[in-house]
Amino acid sequence: MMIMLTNVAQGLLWAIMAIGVYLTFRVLNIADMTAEGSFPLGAAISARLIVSGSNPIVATLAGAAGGALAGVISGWLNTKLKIPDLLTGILTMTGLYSVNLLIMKAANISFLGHVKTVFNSVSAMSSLGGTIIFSSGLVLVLITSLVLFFRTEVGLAARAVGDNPLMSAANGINTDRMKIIVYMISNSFIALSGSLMAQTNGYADVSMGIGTLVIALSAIIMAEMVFHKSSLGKRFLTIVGGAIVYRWLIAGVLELGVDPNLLRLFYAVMLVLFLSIPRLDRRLARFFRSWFKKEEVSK
Amino acid sequence: MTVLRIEHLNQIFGRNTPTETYALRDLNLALEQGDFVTVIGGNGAGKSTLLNSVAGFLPVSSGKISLDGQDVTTQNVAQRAKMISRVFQDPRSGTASHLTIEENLALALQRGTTRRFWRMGVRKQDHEKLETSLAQLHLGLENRLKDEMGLLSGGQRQAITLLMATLETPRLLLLDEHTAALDPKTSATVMSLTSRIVERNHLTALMVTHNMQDAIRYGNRLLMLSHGKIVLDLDQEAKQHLTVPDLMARFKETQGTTLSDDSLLLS
Ligand SMILES: Nc1ncnc2c1ncn2[C@@H]1O[C@H](COP(=O)(O)OP(=O)(O)OP(=O)(O)O)[C@@H](O)[C@H]1O
Ligand SMILES: [Mg+2]
Repeated sequence: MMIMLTNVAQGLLWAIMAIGVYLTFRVLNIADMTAEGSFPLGAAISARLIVSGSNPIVATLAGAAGGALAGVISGWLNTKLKIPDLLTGILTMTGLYSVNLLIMKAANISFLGHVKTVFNSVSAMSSLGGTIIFSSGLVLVLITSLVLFFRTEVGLAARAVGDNPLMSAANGINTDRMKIIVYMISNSFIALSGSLMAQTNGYADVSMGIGTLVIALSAIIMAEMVFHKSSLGKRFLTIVGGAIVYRWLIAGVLELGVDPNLLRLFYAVMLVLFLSIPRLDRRLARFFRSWFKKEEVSK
Repeated sequence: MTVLRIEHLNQIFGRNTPTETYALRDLNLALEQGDFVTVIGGNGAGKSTLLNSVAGFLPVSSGKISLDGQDVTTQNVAQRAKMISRVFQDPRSGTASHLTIEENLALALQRGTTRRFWRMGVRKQDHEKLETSLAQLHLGLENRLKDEMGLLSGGQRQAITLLMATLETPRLLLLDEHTAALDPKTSATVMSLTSRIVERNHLTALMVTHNMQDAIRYGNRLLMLSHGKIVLDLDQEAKQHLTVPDLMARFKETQGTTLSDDSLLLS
């Protein structure tokens, strides 16, 4: 039970990242790998600021802002220099590795001693329950703001660009601007997740971004497997569910005594499975769906 | 008043390569306010290239394009969208499949304006306007504003694209074989809808078609393109007495002469 709850907290943080990835992956229809660099970037900026005595909230926001900047860079490379989306992500991610080392001045920073993070600066939040409540509240606020954003003129235009760029341009939408905006929001979410992850785990590490995308995609695919079609808001909520369930799966595997060094191999194999299940056996997917529905009813 | 003026327009693909193609050669054209011009020509004559150049989809190789006297040669598609709207051949091209009908129409209402964070994409006060304009299509779509665009048939989507293109009156409407992908009956419906909308709003329009009958029946001017040049330019009066066999004969003739011109050049 305790393990389940601990992992809800972690799953909620992963959800923020997965929603960020969803914005480029599904809304823009772009494969953006910047995530693997912006996740540790958020962690690095926040960790550096926190150990040098900054207010943890400021440090967290700065981490998210760093991610936004990384997103702008990728978006700019993609739209203005016309570098293919897959490559822009790889370029930014590679560059960010050095940037993260520069920021941290080491391969990792750990919050030893009595360092204040967003989670322990208010005593009510230092407990596991407090962490979960804070994270759920944050996730809800983020989802609500995203849903509202996608209803504005800019948000509607951004969705149109992902759906049909030709038609969008013909309707006078500045498609480059829209793409850069979504890249920016996406990577600020991912960096925010990295920043909070570092603060709960008690350390930031340059290599903590490896696997980010696979985790995010797993959560997204799980959500889509169970709920085929959803409005944007519902989709975000199902991704939160996907991220938590995925986290439980991982925790279960570790609990079975699997070598943590094999974890990333496991992430990859899992995603391959998720991607192939709907193809291999649609009935199985349907089974999962009905199983989930029963779960909902029994709750 | 001249709405569109094209001067010495050249479009060359694959310049200095073995596949160098002159899609448009020193083309000159002026459209006056209210002109509804039909464009015909064989495959590869340069009709789509002409429309793509006017819309800003293709940067010109050389030449000048002006709208309402303003040089727009270097403007991109989105900038020109303030004045130009378009209906494509493929019914899927003109609308966003995963957005609702209402969202698509709202996008068209905002054509040419700068999108803002502080304004709602779909506004309640536009609801009625969208519903009445949908009702004018007589397709029973007015109650389906919340339906996803992807659920509609090709003809319905094309009718909506046409509506979107004219919801905010454009200075110039470009139609590139916009009924070609539809079955004959739907095609006729969309064509008469087009003519009604163009007439009611006194639009200036450039319409490419493969249907000679339509080319003669609609509009007040007819152009025939061949190998990137305007080889026939008929005004309203000349058009009135034209029959399909006449036009076919002229068509074969121009195809023949330009072909022999080319073979002369090549030899
Ligand atoms: N992007 C491009 N790259 C290279 N060549 C092109 C390109 N677009 C058009 N062309 C060539 O330019 C010429 C004119 O093509 P265009 O599409 O304008 O013809 P069209 O009159 O619209 O023909 P259709 O009736 O088949 O639609 C053709 O020879 C075509 O192969
Ligand atoms: Mg064509």
